[in-house]
Amino acid sequence: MKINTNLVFAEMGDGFVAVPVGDAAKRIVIRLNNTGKEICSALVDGLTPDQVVSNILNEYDGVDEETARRGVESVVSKLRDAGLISE
Amino acid sequence: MENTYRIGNKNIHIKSVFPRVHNLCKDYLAEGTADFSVETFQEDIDKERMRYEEACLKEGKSIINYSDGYLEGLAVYRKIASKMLDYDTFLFHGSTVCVDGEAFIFTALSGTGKSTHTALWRKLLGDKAVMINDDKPLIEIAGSKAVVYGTPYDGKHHLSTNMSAPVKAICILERAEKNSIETISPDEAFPMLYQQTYNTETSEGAAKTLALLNKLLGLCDFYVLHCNMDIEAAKLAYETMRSK
Repeated sequence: MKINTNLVFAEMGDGFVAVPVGDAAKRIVIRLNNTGKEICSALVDGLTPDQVVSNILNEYDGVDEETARRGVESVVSKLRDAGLISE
Repeated sequence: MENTYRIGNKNIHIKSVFPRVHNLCKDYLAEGTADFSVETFQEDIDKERMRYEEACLKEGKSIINYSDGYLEGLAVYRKIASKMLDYDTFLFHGSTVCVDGEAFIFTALSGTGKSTHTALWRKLLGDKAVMINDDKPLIEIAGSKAVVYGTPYDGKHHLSTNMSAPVKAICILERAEKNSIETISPDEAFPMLYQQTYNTETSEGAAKTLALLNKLLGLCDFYVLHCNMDIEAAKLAYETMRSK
């Protein structure tokens, strides 16, 4: 799974947005909360979804694997719906 | 050809291949030193033509053979818009009217009726309504206020005034049979605001633009106006937006 564009993150209101940048970039806005932004950044950095889940479980006490996986899949789904992922 | 103009509260030295852009900017001539310079070359014009033709092909529109001088004008504004981010100022696509010292910006996808609607404001309010810019004004985030500036890039009817005013409200237009207006949250307004803001194509430019938009969200009111072409649409919009 690869994110096929350059994403820029920014604070927007109470959360964050991620937008693709570049010549042919679509004017898409992906809304993220704090955790979503961390997940998305990790995916952009090249981590696989499984690696991101693993990082969340290592970093946060009290988060179970199902919750972590759901969070990661939610972000992946947003990126896929926006056409920003190549498998 | 070259000269200096004051646009968006900055003195800008423009050097171009063709003279057309200087005729476009003639109402904005400035004296004094330039805050920055932009220069265009034939390759900028060729790139603008390519960009335009690609967009036409993508949208299924026929290609108009614009002159190099005309396209150079667009290339100049592109360079200005990119540099103005350094001054907390961004290019926004919206028809902007000033009434009693406050600016109201109407934005929407092309062809929706922004200019038609602000023309109704002028019909309703006469000389009280002054067009700041009918197409691509500049918005500066100046501390605790957003200020909109008239620019020479003022649409096909060339409606603009070399002036500025604080932004009271930004209104997203949608065509409808019956007129209605509602307040929307900054969150709800953001996607359209972003879509109507100049796309800088660099990560740094995008980050700066988003930071400015984030500030804008707290500096004015936001509305959606569902409207037809009746003057009642202007009356509803004006009376609602000025009163808050």
